[in-house]
Formats: sequence, C-alpha cells, structure tokens
Amino acid sequence: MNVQAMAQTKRQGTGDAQTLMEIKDLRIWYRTTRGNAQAVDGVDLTFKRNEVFGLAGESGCGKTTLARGILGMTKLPGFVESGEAIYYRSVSDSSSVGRDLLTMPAREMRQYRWRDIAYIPQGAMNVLSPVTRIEKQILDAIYEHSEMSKEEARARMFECLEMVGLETTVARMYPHELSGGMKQRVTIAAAISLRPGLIIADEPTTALDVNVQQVILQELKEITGQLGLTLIYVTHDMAVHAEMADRMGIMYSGQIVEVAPVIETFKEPLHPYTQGLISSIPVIGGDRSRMVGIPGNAPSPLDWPSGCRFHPRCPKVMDICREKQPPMLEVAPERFVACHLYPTPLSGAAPASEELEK
Amino acid sequence: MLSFLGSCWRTSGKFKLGIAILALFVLTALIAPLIYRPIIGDANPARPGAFARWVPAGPGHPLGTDGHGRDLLTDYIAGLRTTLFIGFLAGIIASSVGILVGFLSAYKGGWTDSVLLTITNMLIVIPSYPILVAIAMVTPELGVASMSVILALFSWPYSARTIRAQVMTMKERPYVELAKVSGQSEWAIIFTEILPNLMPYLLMGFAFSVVGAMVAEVGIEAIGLGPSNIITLGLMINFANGWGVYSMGRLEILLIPVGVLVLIFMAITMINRGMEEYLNPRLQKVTTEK
Amino acid sequence: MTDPKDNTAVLEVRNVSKIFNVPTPGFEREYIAAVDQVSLALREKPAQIVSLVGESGSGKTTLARIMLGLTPPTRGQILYRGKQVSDLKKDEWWDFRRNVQPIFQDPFGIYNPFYRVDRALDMTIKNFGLASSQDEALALKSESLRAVDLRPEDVIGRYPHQLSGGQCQRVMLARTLLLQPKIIIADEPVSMIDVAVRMLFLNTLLDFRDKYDISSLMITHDLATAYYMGGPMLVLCFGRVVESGDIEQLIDKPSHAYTQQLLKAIPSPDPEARWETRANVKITDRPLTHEGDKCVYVERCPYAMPICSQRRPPDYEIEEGHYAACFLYRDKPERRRTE
Repeated sequence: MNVQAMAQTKRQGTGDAQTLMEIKDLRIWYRTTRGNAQAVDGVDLTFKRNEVFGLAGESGCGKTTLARGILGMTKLPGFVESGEAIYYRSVSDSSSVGRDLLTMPAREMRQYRWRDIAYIPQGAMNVLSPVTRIEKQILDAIYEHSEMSKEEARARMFECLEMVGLETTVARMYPHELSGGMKQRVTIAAAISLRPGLIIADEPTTALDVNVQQVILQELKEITGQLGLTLIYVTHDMAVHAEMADRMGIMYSGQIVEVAPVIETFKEPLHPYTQGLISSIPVIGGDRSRMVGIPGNAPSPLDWPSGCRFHPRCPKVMDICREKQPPMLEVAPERFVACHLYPTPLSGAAPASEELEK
Repeated sequence: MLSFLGSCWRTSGKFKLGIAILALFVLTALIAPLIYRPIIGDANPARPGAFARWVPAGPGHPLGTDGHGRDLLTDYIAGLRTTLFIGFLAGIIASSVGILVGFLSAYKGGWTDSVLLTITNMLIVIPSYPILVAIAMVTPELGVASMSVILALFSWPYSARTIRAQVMTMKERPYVELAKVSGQSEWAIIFTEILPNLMPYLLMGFAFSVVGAMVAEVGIEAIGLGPSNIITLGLMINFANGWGVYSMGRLEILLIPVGVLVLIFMAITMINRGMEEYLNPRLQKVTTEK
Repeated sequence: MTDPKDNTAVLEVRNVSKIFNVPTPGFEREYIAAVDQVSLALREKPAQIVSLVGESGSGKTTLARIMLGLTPPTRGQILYRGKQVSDLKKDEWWDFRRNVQPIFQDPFGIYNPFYRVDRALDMTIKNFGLASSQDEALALKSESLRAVDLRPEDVIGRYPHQLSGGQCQRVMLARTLLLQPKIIIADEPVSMIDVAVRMLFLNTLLDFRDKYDISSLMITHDLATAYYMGGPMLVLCFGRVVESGDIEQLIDKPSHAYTQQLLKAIPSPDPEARWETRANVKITDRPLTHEGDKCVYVERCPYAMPICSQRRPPDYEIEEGHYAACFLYRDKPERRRTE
C-alpha cells in the first residue's frame, strides 16, 4: 500500500481523535550573564492522537528548546519559568489521565520517557555508543523502561528493525559499520520499540543526503500510521513539512504564531511571517521571478521587540502591532493565528480584554 | 593576549582567585630582600649557623630558627623564590621548545612531522622521574639553571603535542583559507591567523610545565637528591623530615612548605580552569540558581 | 553551456582529477578519486551563473578548492585566461587571486574568532591596494556593505558571534564586491542560513551578474536553489559530472539515472503533491572507483547493463547543449572533447 493511501486512511480516523498532549503558556528561559534569554515564551499547543504535527521555524525561534522542554530535558542554564505540558495517557477506549510532565518527580518522568514519549534528537546517529553492538543498545533501552522478558524484548527489537527497513543482521553490528542513514534508522527503531504514544523528532534528516532522507521520511510516516502514534516533527525545512505533516505550527521568536492543517498553511497562510516563509521557498519548475524573502533579522531572545515580535519586519504592520501582543485566536475551524490582522475569533466574541503584555 | 587575559579575569571567579594567590606569592618572592633586611640584614639566608638553633617563634625570628641555625622565615622565602624561579624557567624553556616543535610538526607535515612526532612520543613514554633521579644522583652540585633545563626536558613534549593538535585543525579552518585567497603571505597567516588562537593553549601549556617542573623539583629535593646549598621548598621538606619535626612538636616546619606548594599548584590550576571557562562558553557560570 | 575550448573562458577546468590514498588493511593501495576527470569552463562575457549540483561525497568542495588554487589537481589542468595556474608569474598570480574569489559555506567559520568581522574587509583592501588611506578604506568598506543591504554601523567593529548567519554571509558578499572578481566560486553559500534570508543572498548574486558582470559557480545540493538561479547546470556524482546542460533541459528531460533519482527524492513544498511511490534506493557506501573502469553509478542504477561495469561512459549529446554520461544513450553522438 503506498504512502498516500496510508495517509488517507489515517485522516478518516482523526474524526474522533482525542487530545494527546496540551501545552499551556509554556515559558523556558536561559540564564545568561546578560539577563534571561526568553527562548520559549508563552507557547500554547494541543497535540492530537494519531497525527503528524510539523513544528516549523527558523534558527533561534526556540523550537529545539520547546521540543526538549516538553520532555523535561531542559538543562541548566535553561529552566522552566512557567507553564504546563500535560500528557494524557489513555486508560481505556474513552478516557485518559493527564499529568503535567514538567512538575513530575524525576522517577515518574523516567517512566514516561521511552514508554510514552520517545525523542529522536538532531544528529541522533552520533548518540549511539561506538563500542556496543546495536542489539545491546536497543535491548538495554527496552529493559530499562519496561518489564519485558528477554525473549519478548528480542522479538520486539527484530520487529522494529524490520519496520524501519533494516535487516536483522544489523543487530549484531557496531555503529561504525553502518552508514549515516542506517544509524538514523536504528535510532528510530529504538524510539518505537516500546510503542510510545508520542515521538518527537528534531531535524532527524538534516545531515543525510536527499535520497536517504526520502527513504527515512517515508518510513517514519508509514510507521506513524501503522502504530497509530503521534509524531511531532521539528524542522526548518518547509518542504519536508509539506510531505509529512497533517497539521503545522509556525514558531517565531519563542511563540507560536500560526497553527493550521498543512494544506491551508501552504495555500492560504494567514500570518505575514508564514506568508513570508512560504514565499521564500524556491520551487523547481515554478515561476522564476525574483522572490523577496523576509527582510531584516531575527530578533534576539534577550531583547524581544515590544508588542508583536514580528512587527519590525512585517510588511503589514499597523500601529497596534508595536504596542500589544496579539492573542492566539481560532479564526476558522482548526485554524489559529496570533495577528492583529485577524482580531475576530470564530466564536464571534471579541477577545476578553485581558492585560496583554508590553 | 592582554585582552584575552582581561576577558578571563572578567568572566571567571576562579581565575581571579588563582591570580590573586599566585600574585601574592610572586610578589613575596620579588620583595624578598626587603623581608630579609630586618631579620638578617644583607647576609645570605642560607648561611648556616648565623643564629642559635631551634629558637622558637618570637621577636626577631617570626617563625623561629631551624636545625642549621637559619631563620625559618627567610628559609621559606628563599625557598619560595628559588622554587618559583626554577618552575618558571623550566616552564619557559619547555613551552618554547614545545611550541616550536609542535608548530613545525603540524605546519610542515610529512617527513618533518613524522620525525618530530616520534621524538616527542618517545620522550613522553620514557618515565621521566627515575631518569631525573638518576641524573641528580650522578651529577655533583646541580645549579638552578641546570635543574631547570633538565626539568624542561621532560615537560616540553606535552606542550608540543597539544600545540600540534591545535595547529593541525587550525590550518584547515575556513578563515585560514580566506586569508590565503585574500593574499596574505604565509608568515602573516602563521602570526596573525593561527598564533593568536593558539594563545590560550600556549598559556595553559606554560602553566602545566611550570607546575610539572615544580613537582619534579620537589620530588628530587624531598628525597635528598638535589643540591643542598640552594634553598628550595623541596629542600625544606627534606630537612623537615630529616630533623624529625613530628617528634619535636614543630610540625609546622614541614607543613608550611607543603602548604605553600599546594596553594601555588591550586592557584595555577584555577588560572587554567579560569581560562578554560572563558574559552568554553558552556562552562560559564550563570547567575545564582532559582 | 560553454564548450571547454571556448576562448572567452576565464577559468577553465580541463580533465581535472584529485586522487587521495585510502588507508586499507594490508598492503594494497586503494585510492579514491574525489574529483574524477571533470571539465568545465566559466565565461566572462556575458556573465553567467553556473550551478554545480552535488551531494556530500560528490567531490564538489574539493573541486572548488582546486579551482581557487588552494590545492593542486592530481591530474589535469586549471587554466586561468588560458595559462596553467601553476605556471603563472607573480603579477599574473595576483590577477588570478583577485579575479577568482570564494564564498564559503559556514558563515561563522569564515571569520577568525579572534578578530572583528570587518578585518576580513581590511585585509582584502590592504593586500590588493584598494585604498590609499584609512579614510578611503573606511569609505570603501561602508560603500560595499551598503551595496549588500547592510548598515555599516551594524557591522563595523562587531565580532562574528554578534551577527546573524545571514549578516555574516552578506559581509562576505561585501568583501567580494570590493574586489569585483570575474568569478565567484560559492560553495554551498546558503545551506547554513535561514530560508527567509537565503533569497536576499541569492538575489545579490544575481545582481552581481546583472550589474557588475560577475560570473558565479554556485555549488549546492539543493536543486531548487539551482533552479532559482537558472542557467547552465552540472550534476556531480561521486566525483564525476554525470549530466550537464541548461537547467530547464535537465528538469524537463532528466537523462541520467542519478538526476532522475534526485528530482524524485527532493521533497516538494506542496502538500497536495506528495511523494507517490516508495523510494527504492539501495543505500550503498561510496564506491572506490578507479578511473575509467566502470560507471560510477552502476551499483545503484535501475537501468544497469553489463557494459556499465566494464567501461566508463563518455558524454553523449541528448540534445543541443545537454549531455549525459550514460550508456543508455550510446546511439547518440559523443561529445567532442579536446585534450
């Protein structure tokens, strides 16, 4: 069955998708000698079961900090200033129990890691220990986070290797005997070994060449469908999102500026930043008139601009943009945007006049 | 270089402390004659029998006198001077040779590199301490300078290897290539592109050589193999042992030189760490915990 | 696309190979041809932007360094205005240096962290005698920075870590503008800067061509970037040029299996046009090739025939100006190469 058909079947299933994870007003800052770098500064997101969510944004926008922060992997000098990341583990077909990952004690968090949430970091292939055979590395991860017996664990490991398209002989090899693409597939196999509900992948194919990237992306997509898990894919490469994502979140300056299904994000972007991004992507075979890109430079997390953070670079800037941060509103079904150009939410009511910062 | 040191000062608390302690000792060593004056006038502090033996601490002899009839305070200060001098001299020799060899090795590559690398590695592999002991045993009165040279002999390879490794990565760096296409001459590239970036490693190598030389000096002197006419801290340790200060109840005679050495080593290590902290941004200390 | 014997070629690569020894267990010496008999030529008038598309391991960076005179070729020649680069006399060498300039990939690595960013400009001004006084130098620097859309006060006196990747890369452009070289060799100039800023950089290169008559060799792994620049294109695979021609021709009629594979593998930024079929690429290690004995793509090629493992395919002319090195086209005329 080809990938597109797979995507179709999944879309039919999302009608009754429940919430897998909710992020509320998350702020993750870094202490520096020059003050706090507000890398993630007020992020609200909801992830559903059984979807591929693409988190897009450019360097410095905070997406890696966010990805790691959700998993409780924020290390000094970073710290969680405020906010929640609530993960809902399903206990039956219709109900689930939510727990805030950020305030959990470390012992409990370890239970969630790998079993419920797996992480594929940037350069994951360098994470493999060079002196241990592949099978031991995967099996160790399985033993540590579950109570499977030896036979069960081995069987699971081979199953996962097969799912990522690797031959079982790979298990006995050492990492240096494998190519970059194969190593990356091993890390994916390890990540899915305990059937987590959520996988967070941070630029997993950046260092790989285009052909290998295609293979890995297709495999990831297929596995996500087969196992019914949620994949949060973090990358700045919009073309990859176009291939992979069901829904997308655009991140800028530590905040989410737009969330929408992938087709709408590309065909009808609402936020001027998203529009700028989309129009910066050269397309093969497309019109070759000069593209504009987005003028100016990304601001520094030590000194975010006042009001809407995009206002210094925005082609549609208005006076209010310099003073007030726009709230994130649902302006169409499933379409959220934080921009003063869209002040009316779907529900019709004007947003409550809360204290908007700065 | 100065701005580098200045930056280290500003960034690292360890650096400040290390410099402070080291400066204290170096200063003491430098103004030694001024300290001697009230106690022994212009005489040589090493002159035995100048005073009565084993005079306890008191006026005229802030720390008392030792078993040779020498004032202890002047003993220690003289020892500090010499030990520091040996350390720094050996450090300078070792660093200079090390830089030269390391740089040539990495920059020229090929044959030069193979030969120099072999020599360097051989010296590292040879156990230096036994050889030093052997040399010390067969040489009649060693002078300070000869000691420094011998000690430098065994510490330059470490400098050389570090420098070589650094230069090898640096000469492939994009900014070196940019310099080439911008018409910089080879000498200009060596001195303006590579050398400034080597500065931290040079300084750290120097610090290690100094510490290494001082440790070796103490090692030789403390077991009595060094010259006994020049007072060094190591020699004081040797004497203290020989006099049996434990049973005499004057343990401080041993502890003072040991303490001073420990502080000096600590100070140099902190300076090294401080430089590292500045260089490696991730180690930079952050403002106090939440 | 320029014929290598074209007399208006400023910089010509003639049959260049760069061979490295590969350490292997045992006494057999294996070698790898990082660049394997590559020929291309860059013309002066009219200025053009030539794209060289290749992935990591294709030898593109090695080729760039050879063309810049930073490393000599093992075989073949680099000709600057008709003379071998290794034979140039002092004045001619300076002329070469001035007229063939690079843009490198890593916008931060290109600056010596010990110094301020504008030192790169100062160094160039000084060595090429572009200004006769401090004031003149400052004026020149400011002008070139403004020409690439940077404010001098934002850049002069700053250290590299205080600027963004895009700004650093544009300072490089400013530096290049100071010299107004005939040829810019840009090795993956935009792959390490943000997408939004890439356009500015690429547009500047296009401006350089249109306004200052500066030709560029744009080395990239991203076909879309190459497409945006337009013009002639070469596809490099494991050190060999497997296909060349105008980019429109290659997109329209990709003839070599590698080019076809590349086009299929690139994710398209259109969610309604997703990949339809599963990729079927055998992931193999880079083959150790000995020049001339077989086609470099034979292990992965879906059309492989016996002859592909026996001889190295020559360039066949698919259509005017469009060549592919593949035995599938052996009934077409071979490209005439000059020795």
